[in-house]
Amino acid sequence: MIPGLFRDPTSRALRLALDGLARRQEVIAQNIANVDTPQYRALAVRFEEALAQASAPRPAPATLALQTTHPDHRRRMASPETTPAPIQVVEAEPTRWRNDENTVDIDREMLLLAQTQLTYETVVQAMTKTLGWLRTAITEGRR
Amino acid sequence: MEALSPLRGDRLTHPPAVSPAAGSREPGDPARAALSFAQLLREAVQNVDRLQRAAEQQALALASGQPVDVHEVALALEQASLALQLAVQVRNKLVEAYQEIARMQV
Repeated sequence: MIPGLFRDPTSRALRLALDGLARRQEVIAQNIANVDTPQYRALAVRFEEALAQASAPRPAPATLALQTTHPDHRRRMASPETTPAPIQVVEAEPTRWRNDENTVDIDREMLLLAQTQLTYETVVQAMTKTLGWLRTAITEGRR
Repeated sequence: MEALSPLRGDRLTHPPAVSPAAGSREPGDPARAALSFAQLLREAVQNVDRLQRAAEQQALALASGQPVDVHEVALALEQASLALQLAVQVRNKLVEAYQEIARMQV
């Protein structure tokens, strides 16, 4: 029952966003550290599309068991618990070219870093508030 | 921006008439008044739920990279939190009032 308190789609989506943003901040730091490394390809983190898909309203899960006649038959339909939305680390689209084939755009990385930090803090605040609603209900307004 | 209070504070000073024949002593009056109060409570709870859902949607939209202002998200969250706290406190007062009356010796 207790873990079930945090399994609703919104909580999971916010947690996924925090994971994605934290990963992005790591990748940006790595890009900046390698701004002068020859042949280093800048990396980027993708999770927004997966997040939008995960928080889109999905149809009710099937309650009928699938008939299996072979060991390889799948027994369960894919559910939110078994197929988490992925956070992908990919090569960033290059915005400039250099002789040493390094693709780090320091201006872009700094902008992205500022935006990531701002979004991260706002989502943290959103998580704190939504968990606070649970606490208010549990403590009956701190009576 | 909608009124902050789900119970609409102006209703305390300007309560809507519970029935068209307000003040009369018709036999059906208490039943109609009770239905209206229940509706009031139900609306208030639905308002709080609506505010919470709206705030969650804003936060998710921001996290998904959509062009949402940070202050909009912060305000929506705070609004929902205040609405919930107010609803809980009103509920506490109602329960307390009932208990006080239940304690009365006839």
